[in-house]
Amino acid sequence: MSEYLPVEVMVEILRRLPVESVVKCRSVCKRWNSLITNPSFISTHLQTSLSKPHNQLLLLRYSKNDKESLFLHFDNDDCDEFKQLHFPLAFNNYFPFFQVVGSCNGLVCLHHYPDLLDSIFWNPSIQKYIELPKPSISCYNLVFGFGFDSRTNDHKLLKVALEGKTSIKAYLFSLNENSWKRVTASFPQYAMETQSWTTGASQIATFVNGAFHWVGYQGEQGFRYRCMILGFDISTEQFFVLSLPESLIGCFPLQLLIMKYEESSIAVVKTDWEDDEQDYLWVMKKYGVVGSWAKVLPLADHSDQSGFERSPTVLGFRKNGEVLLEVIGPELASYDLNHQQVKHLGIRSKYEFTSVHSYVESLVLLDKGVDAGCVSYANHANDDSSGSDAS
Amino acid sequence: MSTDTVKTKKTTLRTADKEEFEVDEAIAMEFGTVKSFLLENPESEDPIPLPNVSSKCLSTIIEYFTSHLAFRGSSSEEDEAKAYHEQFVKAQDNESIKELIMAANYLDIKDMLDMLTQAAADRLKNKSVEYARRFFGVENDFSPEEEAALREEHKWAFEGVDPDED
Repeated sequence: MSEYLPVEVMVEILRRLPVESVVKCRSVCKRWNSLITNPSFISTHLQTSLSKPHNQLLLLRYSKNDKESLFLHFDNDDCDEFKQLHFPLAFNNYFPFFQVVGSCNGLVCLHHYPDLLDSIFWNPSIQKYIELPKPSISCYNLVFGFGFDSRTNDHKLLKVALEGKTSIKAYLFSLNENSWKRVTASFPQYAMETQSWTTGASQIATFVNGAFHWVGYQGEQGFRYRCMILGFDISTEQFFVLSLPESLIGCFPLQLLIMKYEESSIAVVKTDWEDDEQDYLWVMKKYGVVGSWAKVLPLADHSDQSGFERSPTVLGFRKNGEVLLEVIGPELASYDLNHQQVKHLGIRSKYEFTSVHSYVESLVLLDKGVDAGCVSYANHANDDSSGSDAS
Repeated sequence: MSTDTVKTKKTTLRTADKEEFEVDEAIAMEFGTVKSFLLENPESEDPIPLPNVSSKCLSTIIEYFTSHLAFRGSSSEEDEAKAYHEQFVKAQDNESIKELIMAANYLDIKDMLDMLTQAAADRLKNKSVEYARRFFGVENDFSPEEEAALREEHKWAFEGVDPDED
């Protein structure tokens, strides 16, 4: 039978293939190649990937055998390792001075520090990346965020600059446009701590529910903080504010870290530097409803933490709602809040677990990116030129 | 639909190679295109022509549904049905899978199409490009340079490919 299968049938088959197989199928014939590199197919394939729970992975940064690296693990019972990622060759000289800004739809956003203006979007599953053009921002007090605008099917990088003491300006990079723009919405006067005083790493905004969230405050730096959650909606490009739980409002802002909780809400971790580095974890059970803040760690009854020799560090949440903790080792453990049970996952690191993100394999950047194995080319277009396309 | 267990309503389907199959209406209604036809022509007694489906294909599909519908409504549906599906798919060679996909697409049988396209994907996974071409009867229209460039671009994907069994 030599008749061609109709396009809709081809899509039905190809969208079910893992990323590696789809990429190979580009070589089958020209028709398949053009089908696979079509943005609408890339999107269909991603939707299929997202709908399968066993495709949910965790992107972990830790050190195995003395070497720090990025690893993908299955987000299953045993958190088995899937693969070790190889950092894009062109950015090897940045290693390890980079931060993972975020992970979205198979794209990982990395930024190099202390050169805070250098960022890349990287798809480790297909080994492609693009180097973002540098925005014309002269300030180095920046909070970063990486997210996806479902309204325009666009991946965006947010840089919030603190100019002076309380003047906040936001800049947004759009992957579709390949350019930066200055956000015009005005924002009431807030301050924010943009860098860790110990590591120099920048504050990262968490992207949840279509918006970026990070910690800001009012009051004098070093004296009487009133902290709150600053938010920025990726589609409407408007700022907003959410209140923290009462007992966290007076904290030093760098003690607080916002993370994603469940599909569409947030949690906040407070690291208490005095009390033996105890981590407090609060979740917003109903996103946006201040009255729904609930403390889940430490438990009211401290004796239930007998599994821990010293207070664990909260790293993030798993798909099943368990909390990922770094315990003595350092080792990774999963904590079931409902049954109050700790499970050691057998993942050890030489140094700390620096970051945890959810991840899914996708074809995003297949039609745009540069090979991660290649020498990078210089792209220093400023934010009002169209910028050249990376492919 | 008839609830009379002694005399169930039947529909006649005529395949591309002019064979006629009499099937329970319950099965015929699983085929989207046939269902639409029956709903628009409830009185019609004529055999329904299916010019894009061979008799071999149709008889396989009918056999599948005869068992499949027996599972539906039985309490142990999940596991037994799953095992049946796996066996059914395993028994089909690549050519048959392709024919069945075409037929299921033409007849608009969504669930069966999902199962078959997943089976095709499972067979393709980790196989070589040549295998994929043979499976789909597709010719390579790339020039040697073009093909080499694509392979070079995705070098990492071509490592560790399973040997082709056929």
